[in-house]
Amino acid sequence: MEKIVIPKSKSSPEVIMDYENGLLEIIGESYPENSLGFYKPVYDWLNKCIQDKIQLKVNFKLNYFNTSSSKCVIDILDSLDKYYSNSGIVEINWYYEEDDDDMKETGEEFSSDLKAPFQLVYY
Amino acid sequence: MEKEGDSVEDFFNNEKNLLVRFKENLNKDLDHENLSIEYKLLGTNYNELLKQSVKLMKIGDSNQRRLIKTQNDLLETHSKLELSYNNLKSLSQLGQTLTSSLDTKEIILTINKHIQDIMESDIVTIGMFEEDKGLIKYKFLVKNHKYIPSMAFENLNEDNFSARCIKSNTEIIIKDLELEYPDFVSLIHNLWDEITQSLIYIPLQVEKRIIGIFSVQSYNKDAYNINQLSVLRTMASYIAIAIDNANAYKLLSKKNRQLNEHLEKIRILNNQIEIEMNKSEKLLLNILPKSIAERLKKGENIISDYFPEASVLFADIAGFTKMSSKMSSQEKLVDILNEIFTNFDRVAGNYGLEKIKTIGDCYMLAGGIPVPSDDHLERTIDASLEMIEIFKILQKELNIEVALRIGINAGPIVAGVIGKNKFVYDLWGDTVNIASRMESNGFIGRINCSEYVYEKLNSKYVFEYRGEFEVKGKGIMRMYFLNRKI
Repeated sequence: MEKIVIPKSKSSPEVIMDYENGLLEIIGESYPENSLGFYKPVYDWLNKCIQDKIQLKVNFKLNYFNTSSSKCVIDILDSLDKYYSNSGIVEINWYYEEDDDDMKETGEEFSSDLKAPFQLVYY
Repeated sequence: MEKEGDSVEDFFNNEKNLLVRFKENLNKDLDHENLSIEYKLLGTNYNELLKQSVKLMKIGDSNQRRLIKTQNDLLETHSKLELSYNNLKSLSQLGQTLTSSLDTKEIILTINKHIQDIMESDIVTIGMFEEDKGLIKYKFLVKNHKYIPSMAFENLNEDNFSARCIKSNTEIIIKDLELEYPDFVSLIHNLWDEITQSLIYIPLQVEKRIIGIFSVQSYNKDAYNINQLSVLRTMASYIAIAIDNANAYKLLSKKNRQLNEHLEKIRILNNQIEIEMNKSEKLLLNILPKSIAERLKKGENIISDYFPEASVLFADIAGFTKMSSKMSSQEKLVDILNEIFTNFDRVAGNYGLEKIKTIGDCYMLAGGIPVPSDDHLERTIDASLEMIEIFKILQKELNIEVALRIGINAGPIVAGVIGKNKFVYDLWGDTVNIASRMESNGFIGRINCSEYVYEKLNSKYVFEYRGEFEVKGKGIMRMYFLNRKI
């Protein structure tokens, strides 16, 4: 399966889906008009990886996201958490800028109900 | 009602009169013609009575309906009153719960649960007013009954509902977004949800401070009635207090955390300082006697103490200079010297003597300073005997062709520290010079003592008289080799 890269736009983040390395990266700002539509390929890719039981590393490097995108992030995290509970190997990294307390706190909120390994990483 | 009552009475009077007349006619022997007239009359009256009866029944039905309606109205009013009472009671309980909570997430979840019981809502959110950044940040959001970490914000320098709500300090009620604010549709749909229709924004205020916005939204148009709005307003008052408390608590916790972090840093620094101080202290005590170091630390700049009697020993490693010129490795030379002097240090320590310094291959120690004592000379003498023995062992171990020459004297001296840098505890006076001469005029493997030493200890130690010697700057002096203890 080839590496898929969705380039970033004004309101949507760059998304890298690298099946060979089990790597998913979401980078930038996320407030697309149709969040569900935008994240649909991500869900599909993720489901395929989970189905194939590959080791996954997911990096969130977001600066801003709207509430609809937030819901999509929750859905991605829920999928990863279920996969982890079913013995899948998952690593989730939540990147935030060193002074960005909001993004750090949001990451903490997202991780509060998760069992899968979730790292807060500042850059 | 009085008119209707009269009609009923008339009806029954007429009916009674008709019956009486009918009975009377039955008892009369009427002919056919009169009978026919009476029956027609009876029929007419009876018809009238029937009409009256129908009319009365209608009136009765109407009254009954009015009665039922009144009864229903009363029941409805009662229900409304009961609902209002329950709402009030429930709001009061909500107020207690909210104002005792210090966690904003818990606050919004409680609010959402309460709202779900009394009205429809698809989004419930609390925005925090960040005056310095000119923003309302909606970090706390329940969407479709699920808590969602949010980063949504509205800039108060732009035209949006949050800005309008804050600037006017009044609530904003939108029943039909697309109809009322077509220009805001895309903004709202992008911020909250694509299908939001009804929105309520209520400013959160504590005393005269605006601290945020409470917003409830629905996917349906015209979702909120006056009563529900009233409940939301009351709720907003409680939320404002609760959020203000939670913010204050959060700030306090943050300050507390920072304070603890600072304290921890200070504790680590203190530990490091203590370690460094201990190192310095240890170093200082290696250079100076403890009592002298204490006095310097207390601020004495120059220390110069007179001791009426102290003993001084010089031990020179004879042949060391010759050996060093032969030795290829200077490092090894230093190692040998270090080994010898380290052993001498141990001896000095064991006998409670003070090492003063080393000058090249010469080792100098003193007894009776800085703390005067009666047996300092005996201890110095004993130490010198041990130094000779130890040196013999070291000669073999280290395989060195050098010898030890020791000179000892005793008498008054001045001891102290002078200068500001690289200070040492040093000795001055004739006693010191003579001790040095005893060493230089001594012999390898022997301990050369002054007459003063001999006079003091000849009852306890065996001395060997050497004779009189010309001492530079001092003239003729008698000298004695110390052999052993008696």
